[in-house]
Amino acid sequence: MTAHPSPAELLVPHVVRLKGFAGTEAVAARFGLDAAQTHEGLLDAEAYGWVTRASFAGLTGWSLTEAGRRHNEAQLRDELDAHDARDAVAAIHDDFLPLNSQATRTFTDWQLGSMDGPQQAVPGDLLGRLAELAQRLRPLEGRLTERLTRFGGYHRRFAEALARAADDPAWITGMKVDSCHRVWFELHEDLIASLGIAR
Amino acid sequence: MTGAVTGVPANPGRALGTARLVRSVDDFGRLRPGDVLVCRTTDPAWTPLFHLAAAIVTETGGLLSHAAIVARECRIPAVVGAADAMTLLPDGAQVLVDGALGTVTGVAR
Repeated sequence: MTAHPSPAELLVPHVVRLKGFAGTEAVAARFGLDAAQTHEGLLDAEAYGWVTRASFAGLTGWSLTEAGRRHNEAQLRDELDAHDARDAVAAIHDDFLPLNSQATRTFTDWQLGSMDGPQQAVPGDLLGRLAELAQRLRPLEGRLTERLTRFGGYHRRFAEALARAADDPAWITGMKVDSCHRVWFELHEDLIASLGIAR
Repeated sequence: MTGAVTGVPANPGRALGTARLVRSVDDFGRLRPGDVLVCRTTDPAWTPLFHLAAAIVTETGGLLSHAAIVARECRIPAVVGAADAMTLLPDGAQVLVDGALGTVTGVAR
């Protein structure tokens, strides 16, 4: 079994799906793609009606259209089938679901506990729960990257966010940084998109 | 509209605004700052809308859902798991969202 690297034609719109809304530089950075090539890819995708440029709350970025979402899912479906990875990714998703319940419970407990004072110190047991999730994420990602290299990096990003969280709680569920919640949610979206299933 | 739509209270706070029914990404441009976002469910593509909306109402999900977690980060009232919200709330109606009670009620203009 050889891990398969995905082509830029798949990765560019897929980043837009994973990020939901992102500028050209962020799209290129997600998989270390060339910025100019990414820009061209986004313009091509725009011409096909797969992505659209929008401005929200002072930010300008790309998002997938409904047609783009369908196209992205067809690309991902073809990739899984071409590399005989569907059963393996589906089994990994099954193993991910109980972890996902644990993760969303942890994020929610943190938010509800910190509502009265957002600057309070992060309780040690909460960091411990996140550390356990990081530990369990590592082998799960390893099983994914044995099939498709594009699944790599989630554990590293989650662990980096966790390392920063002790000093700055924004790294737990914050929206402006690559927080534990954002990384986790991106992986969830990646699995859902790859398998073409509803949340 | 008659009566109130109820769901899971997911983030406390009250907000008054125009109900905007958003069915897909292709409808995002319809949401105006201060509107109440009413939708089926949310995923990462919907996150920027939380910075514009005064409150969010979803038909699916619970306390642990993406919509609930992001609403808390953006500090906007949220009612989730409000089944039939998109059927019962007319687009353009003035509504009051109470994220502590989990209610959405119509308000006469």
